[in-house]
Amino acid sequence: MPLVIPTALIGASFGVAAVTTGWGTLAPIVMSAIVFSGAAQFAVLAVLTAGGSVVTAIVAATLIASRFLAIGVALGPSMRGGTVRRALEGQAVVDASLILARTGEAQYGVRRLLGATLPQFVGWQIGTIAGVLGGSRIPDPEKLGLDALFPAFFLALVWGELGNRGARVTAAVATLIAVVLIPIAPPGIPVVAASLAVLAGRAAQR
Amino acid sequence: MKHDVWIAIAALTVICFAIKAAGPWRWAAATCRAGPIS
Repeated sequence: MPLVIPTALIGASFGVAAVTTGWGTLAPIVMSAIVFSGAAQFAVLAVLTAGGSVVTAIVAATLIASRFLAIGVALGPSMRGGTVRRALEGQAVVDASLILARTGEAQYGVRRLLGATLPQFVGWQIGTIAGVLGGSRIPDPEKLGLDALFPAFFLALVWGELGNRGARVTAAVATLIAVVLIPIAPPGIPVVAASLAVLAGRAAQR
Repeated sequence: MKHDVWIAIAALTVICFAIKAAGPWRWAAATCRAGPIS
């Protein structure tokens, strides 16, 4: 529940930004309902607003969303059932839910995951609709400091996984790659490139 | 602009669904053993 308000406010900021850049009222609401990926949605908004092509916007959003593949792989061993059930439960994967679903080292509860994602989904929809309809009357999440909440959750998630040398090397190299690339690379690239740190972590464990 | 937005929405609906669906599959878990860090 603590995530609902910041999620709603960030959703509202997306709605405000989308409607003020000429998306109309329906497109932002539909996008939040069926894409449900804040970072990917903001990436599309940023690229199209800057005059980029729709292909560039889709590629940038895909790169950003590709982190869900790694998260899904981590969740896989904790899931039961066949391909269809896993595919449907995988739709509940969002960033902050991962830490709330964690039950132990590399172990996650699927019901916890679903329970954490559902309120965020509702908050994201309410926020987007409020932003589209309410416009500039919605407070800016950055001014309230709420944009720091999600990075804090990521830090807490990584902290719990740093139990061995390989994990610590992986985290350190991933941080280094991301810090170096963020100022110079297009959105999405630093996140994907940082995944290569797993190779360094594997080498350190041997 | 609006035309591009709807194209992006349609594409990302499929792409995001596929990405989120593929991660938990057994083949992915088997390939990566216990996950990306452990």
